[in-house]
Amino acid sequence: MTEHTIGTVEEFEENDRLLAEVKGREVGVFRVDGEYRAYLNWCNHQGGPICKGPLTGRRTATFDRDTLETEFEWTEEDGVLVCPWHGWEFSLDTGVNLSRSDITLPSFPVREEDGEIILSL
Amino acid sequence: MFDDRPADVQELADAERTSDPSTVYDDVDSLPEWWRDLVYEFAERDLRPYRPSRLADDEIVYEVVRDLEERFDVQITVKSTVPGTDGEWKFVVDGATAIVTTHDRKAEGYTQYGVTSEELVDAVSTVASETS
Repeated sequence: MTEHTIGTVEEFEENDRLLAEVKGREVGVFRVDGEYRAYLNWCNHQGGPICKGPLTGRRTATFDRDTLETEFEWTEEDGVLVCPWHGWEFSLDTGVNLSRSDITLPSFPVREEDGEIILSL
Repeated sequence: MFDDRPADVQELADAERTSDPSTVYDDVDSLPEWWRDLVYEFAERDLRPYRPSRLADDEIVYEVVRDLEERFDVQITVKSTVPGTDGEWKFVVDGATAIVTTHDRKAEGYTQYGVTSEELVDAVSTVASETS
């Protein structure tokens, strides 16, 4: 594995991601709750540019059998990454597909050191 | 968000997916080592066959950038902080932006940047001469 400096923490002050092509691979780095996640910019479905996609959340429904009422709740704001090609959705935190837990975005180690974003490939 | 997708990208939605490189390459072993390694890595990850990024004149980004780094003794980073399919990308030479361009993932499975190799060489040469 080799390390590559692809940017700085300042680049995340006004942006939610940093995309880079490194040694033939495209990688998207995101900051999640103060930590960084790096995923291959390649959707498991058909190779779409997943890391260019929008961030969204989840709307979950809870049905109460007693009152027969359904409550909706918006969760994981900006925690879901959506492929701009065909809408496949992945957890930004884990890379796991929301519909099929056996599918996960390829990920890479990434860390911050002295203000630099360092990716390991 | 999907209305502006090219027709060939839309058609992929229900197309049969394969990670078999032989659908793209006649002879993977004839490829350069870095390229071959990524073909195998993508196949192991059950992804569509790897295809390297290209410049507008179909030159391979990895090889052009590698040659420029050696020629000018610089570090080149290809990057973007802009989400969305229209977000601009930059070729950055030792921290200085050399050229801004487009980045388009083609339905065939490779990325194509909007700058030619000649334009990239000129831009990198200019920045390298200014910073040396």
